[in-house]
Amino acid sequence: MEEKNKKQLIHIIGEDNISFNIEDRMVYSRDITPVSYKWLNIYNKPPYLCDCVFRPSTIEQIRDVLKFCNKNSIPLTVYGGGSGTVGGVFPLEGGITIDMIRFNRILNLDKESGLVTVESGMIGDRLEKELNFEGFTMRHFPQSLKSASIGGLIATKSVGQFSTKYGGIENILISLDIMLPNGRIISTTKTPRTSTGPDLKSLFIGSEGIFGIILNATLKIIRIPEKIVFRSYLCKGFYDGINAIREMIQAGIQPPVVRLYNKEESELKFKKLGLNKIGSLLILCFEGKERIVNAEIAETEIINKKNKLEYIGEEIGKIWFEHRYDTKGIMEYNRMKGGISDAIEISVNWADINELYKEVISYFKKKQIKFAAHLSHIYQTGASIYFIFYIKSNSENDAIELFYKTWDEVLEITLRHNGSISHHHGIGIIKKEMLKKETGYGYELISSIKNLIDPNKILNKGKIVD
Amino acid sequence: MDKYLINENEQSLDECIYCHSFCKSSCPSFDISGNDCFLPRNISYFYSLFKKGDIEITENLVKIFYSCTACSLCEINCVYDNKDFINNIIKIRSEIFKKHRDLIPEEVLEIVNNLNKSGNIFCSTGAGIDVKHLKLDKSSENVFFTGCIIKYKLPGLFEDISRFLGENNIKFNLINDALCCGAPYLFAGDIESATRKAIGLKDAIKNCNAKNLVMFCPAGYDYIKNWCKKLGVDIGARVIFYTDFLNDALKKTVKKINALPEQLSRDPALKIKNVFFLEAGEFRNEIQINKSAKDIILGLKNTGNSEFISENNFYTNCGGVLNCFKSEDIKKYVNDIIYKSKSLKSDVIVTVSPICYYYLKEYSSGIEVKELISYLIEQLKINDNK
Repeated sequence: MEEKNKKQLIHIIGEDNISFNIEDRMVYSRDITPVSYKWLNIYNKPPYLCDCVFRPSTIEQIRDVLKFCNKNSIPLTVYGGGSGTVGGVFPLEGGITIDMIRFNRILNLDKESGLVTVESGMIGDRLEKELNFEGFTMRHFPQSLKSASIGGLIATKSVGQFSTKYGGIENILISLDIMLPNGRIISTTKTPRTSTGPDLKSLFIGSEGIFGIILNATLKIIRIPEKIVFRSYLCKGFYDGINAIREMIQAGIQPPVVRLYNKEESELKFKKLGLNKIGSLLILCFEGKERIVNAEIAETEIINKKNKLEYIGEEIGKIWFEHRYDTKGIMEYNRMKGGISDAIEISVNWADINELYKEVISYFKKKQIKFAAHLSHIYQTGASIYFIFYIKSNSENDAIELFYKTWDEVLEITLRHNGSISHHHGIGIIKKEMLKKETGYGYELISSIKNLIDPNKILNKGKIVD
Repeated sequence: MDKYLINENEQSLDECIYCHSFCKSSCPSFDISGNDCFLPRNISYFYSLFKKGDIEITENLVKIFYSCTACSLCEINCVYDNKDFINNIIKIRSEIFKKHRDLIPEEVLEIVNNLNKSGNIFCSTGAGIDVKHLKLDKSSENVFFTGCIIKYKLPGLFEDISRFLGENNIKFNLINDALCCGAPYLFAGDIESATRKAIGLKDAIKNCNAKNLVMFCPAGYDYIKNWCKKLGVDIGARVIFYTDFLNDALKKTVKKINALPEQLSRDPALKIKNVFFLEAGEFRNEIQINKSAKDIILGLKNTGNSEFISENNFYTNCGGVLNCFKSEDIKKYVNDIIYKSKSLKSDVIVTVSPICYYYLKEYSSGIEVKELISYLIEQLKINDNK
């Protein structure tokens, strides 16, 4: 960044709110995308580096910086908790990275309506703890909860491990305040539903910071459930498990947690637990009022028996629950020289799920890529599948190349089977080309909206649209 | 790297797998600063660059390396089981202390200078604990070591413990001369002085024939129990935290406690108290220590006098004093604790960390704050027997 711009920025927002230190710039130019882990062994500094880190504490400061960026064509990237897995915060063309951490207050807790209004920089785990102190919970538990910010969860359209009952962030987000690149603020309505033309709120959910800066959000909260029960089952085959959970959900049973692991991933889990079992593991959790929970369990039993699922106790579910934020299995593979792993999270309808799964698995086998898979977000019409892959190559650069190739090829298969390329991690730098394929003319519409809202293309430059 | 601190089997600081930051939700430095650079995962990142010589040592980088409070909660929570984070932090600081002292944060150097001048971190010239009134038994195998905070800022706490011990006919002695345990030197990276202090303490223990060294300060306990060995000093006594010691004593006096409800019920002002208990992080995986403190409070519940309602972590030690506990930061942290305790309708916050107690007393309002020993004395209605 030019010296005169630095001076002007300091003049506008004050020295205490901006850092040009190389250490800050290095940290705030990365997230936990596996390729950025590989960079540690390849480069001294991340290949994409912001010029400074701006930590605003007032809305006026954000507005002033947006004005400055527009005037000087300086890119601005929003950083929430740095927990993204697709490179959404990489400052592809440098510029200013804005860290929202000082926007971390609960603005309002409406216990009667079951609503909390919170600033966007608050870390999810922190909010959940604060709510628990008041007897409430979000029931939104993404694996990144301990590090992701509320703004980041909205910007990437996150989903939590209890999604089968409570839905994704879009289902608990009631409204938001967002600052557009021109400095104007849109505050969407805070009522349960509106019929007031196109839903503006939805435009910003999953927009990955390209349309505006989320300032605060109003979320739906509930009282901490009275009862929580885990149940685990052994399915002879993965498809038996798929049939059972489809029937269960379509019958109106609402377990918040449904996790069906394929044979490969089940084997790993059983081995870890010292159990000698073969087949697919299904973990269910039921929660709420005791009598409702008992009724749901009774109905589930009928369906599971019909599909020849064997009940194997509560313990496995409880162990999963205790370790539910642990990503060690995937992440530690990246430590190996030439090793890289990731989770591809796609979504697909029931009618296409078996064929899609079959083709992706045969792709991994053909390419001799170690893999595992599970279903953990279930809907009436379909589900999300996680394909976890582990690549081992000769060098870090080869690993990165193979990583992108694997992503692209699996997403191509997904599109062929009418699936979506991303269920909840977002697009970032990994899936941008595939997004064009999935959305068709819709992609041009997104580009047009971007041009209208952000004509100077300052916000999260190069992400989602060119 | 310092010869005493090298252990080939230890995990390297750069062994971070960049998980979803289990360290983030437990790191007090991050909690206070909101700066991702201070997170263990990013300190690890800088350390790996530092080791390879790929990053220039700047004042800001040194500040990052000194931001850790050494509370060890990241080690407890690490999904990759990295148990050597703090050890490696000390190694880096040792390097910096030797080669880049001019870049070390002022507040760290001030404490080191205070220690060099006066032997205590406050540079206090006061007399400390008045031992004349205490019934010390020079032949006792139980020897207490209080540390700077109690000696110079909270001597009343030791008077409380001596009352409790006196009431229960437990003999004890006190090391009152070895002014600093050495922990602040260690956390500052001055390994040479820390080692010298450890040797001084070892001699003091030897001189009074102590078998059990009872510690009052969580950081001092961690330092003497875990770090002295790494510095090559065998302290020559069993190191016990005072809550463990008290819990044992209480078990022996169980009849007396069971008899209390009747006695206490005569007090019309008595009501069951909701206790908000603050754990200290420095015990690493020795969960039995916080458990023994909780057992004491639960024991009081049996007297119909106290209800243990919640627990929370509070992170203080000499590392904390050295680094992030500047007055504004402490205020912020204390406010957080007060907010949580009030939202749970607590009557009293009880802590086992003297430094935590000191700051809570200084910056909190609207809620009672007690060190565990004083709370125990008050609840058991042990009279002053000076």
